[in-house]
Amino acid sequence: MILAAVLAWLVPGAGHAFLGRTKRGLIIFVTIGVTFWAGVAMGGVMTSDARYEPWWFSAESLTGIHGLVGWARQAKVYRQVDAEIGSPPSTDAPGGRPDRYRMQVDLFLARRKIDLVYPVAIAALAFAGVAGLLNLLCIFDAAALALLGVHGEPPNQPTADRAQGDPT
Amino acid sequence: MSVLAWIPFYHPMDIPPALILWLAIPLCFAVAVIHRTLRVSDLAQLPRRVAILTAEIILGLGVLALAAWLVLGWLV
Repeated sequence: MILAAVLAWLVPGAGHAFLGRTKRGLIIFVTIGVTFWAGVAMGGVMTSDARYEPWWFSAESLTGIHGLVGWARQAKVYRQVDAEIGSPPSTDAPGGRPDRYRMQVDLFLARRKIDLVYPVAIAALAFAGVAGLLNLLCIFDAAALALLGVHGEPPNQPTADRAQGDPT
Repeated sequence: MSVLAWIPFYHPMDIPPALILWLAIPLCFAVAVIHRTLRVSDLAQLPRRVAILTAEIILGLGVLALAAWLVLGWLV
């Protein structure tokens, strides 16, 4: 069960492929990948922002390898930020207001035209974040199938399915 | 930013605000694909079921938006 869940997280769809549901795994892989990278295409490299958008980043990291690549790309940008304006201070300004350091970071990103701002930020974060949450659904499904010992596609029920439709 | 200076997947796209709302449709489609891929027993039925669920989600969002607009109009 743990292996199926880890596989499903690391490579979306791999958990289902591991359980003998290759076609479903492929559909999941393509859909999650396209949704996540559509978000990154819209929002750019700062769509995955572990430093200032931790909740969105948590959702995006559920896409496994996609989220890891996104994290590595933004980490590279933040290394450049730290090299130019120094490391972030240990505490933020009270009340959640952007402090001086945060404004310097925003200026750095704006100068390079990679700052993620309204309205593109809404769409980019929604696509990348929803891709992660959809993969969470797939991880739960793969784990549940593995826990129940289900392997392969469900048996065909042509008469019941076509006459009444699936109970889904 | 000039088109030549724009690097895909690095720089943000310049999307007109009016277009943002329409991006909900492909997002609803992605949600429907994943949900139905996990739920259908026969994959041959997947396209039809995805189309139905996509329409249901978009319709549901439309109804919610209309309700929110009416409530807002009543309050203000």
